[in-house]
Amino acid sequence: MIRVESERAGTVEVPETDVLEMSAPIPGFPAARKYCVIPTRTDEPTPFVWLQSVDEPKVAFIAVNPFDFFPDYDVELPRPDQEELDIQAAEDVSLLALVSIPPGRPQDITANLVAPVVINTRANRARQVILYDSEYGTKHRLLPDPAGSEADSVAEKEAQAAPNAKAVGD
Amino acid sequence: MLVLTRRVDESIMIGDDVKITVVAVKGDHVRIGVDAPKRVSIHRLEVYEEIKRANVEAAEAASDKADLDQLASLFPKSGSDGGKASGTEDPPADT
Repeated sequence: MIRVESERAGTVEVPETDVLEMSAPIPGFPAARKYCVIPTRTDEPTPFVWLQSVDEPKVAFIAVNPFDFFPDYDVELPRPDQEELDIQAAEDVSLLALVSIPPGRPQDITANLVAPVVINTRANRARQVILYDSEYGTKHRLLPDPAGSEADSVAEKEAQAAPNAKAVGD
Repeated sequence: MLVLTRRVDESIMIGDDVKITVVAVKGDHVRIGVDAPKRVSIHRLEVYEEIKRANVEAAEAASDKADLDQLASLFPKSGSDGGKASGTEDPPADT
């Protein structure tokens, strides 16, 4: 077990075999090369996990299994990423989508589906893969749009700013 | 910034293992070929910047404990094996 200091989750112990080595840093966080996945709550089940940097206590993301929320999510891993992660079988792969919570508006929580963190669970190697030419964007709502809310138009505007982004269906 | 003039089919090397080639030029479109080891990520800048911005936003957003606590009521009793978005039937608590 190794001790992981997390600014958000406190000090947690994680089996060394669960530490993920990033084959490329997550864009924006060049110093964080190792991560672990820890539950956000221990008292009850939740779809949210922490993707916590092992080397940087401050660096943590909330993530979900994208298939929990978007059963039709369709990912074709670019071959270079597949090779770089040494992925040989579909069973090797697990995905995390990083989620974003607008301050004070948790109901407007969104997931980034265009750049999932792809994990080779067999080798514990991971990287954030950018799915060029996919239909996905950086902000897909996890909860339905309350019609006509202000939050709605903001999210749309932000989504339009993204070159690859597409407004979320349903 | 170092600026070099290259013709079509000419290349530049960055370090020992990254080769950039001008493949074609048509008006203001330039096609560029990149030969690099797999460990080197190659991105269109505007896309990379967008992902980076989304990541920074995600990491910052994750810091508000009140918002996190509220997630529990927005996604009641939804396990990670839920398969579909639990709570989609329920309108958000405070709209």
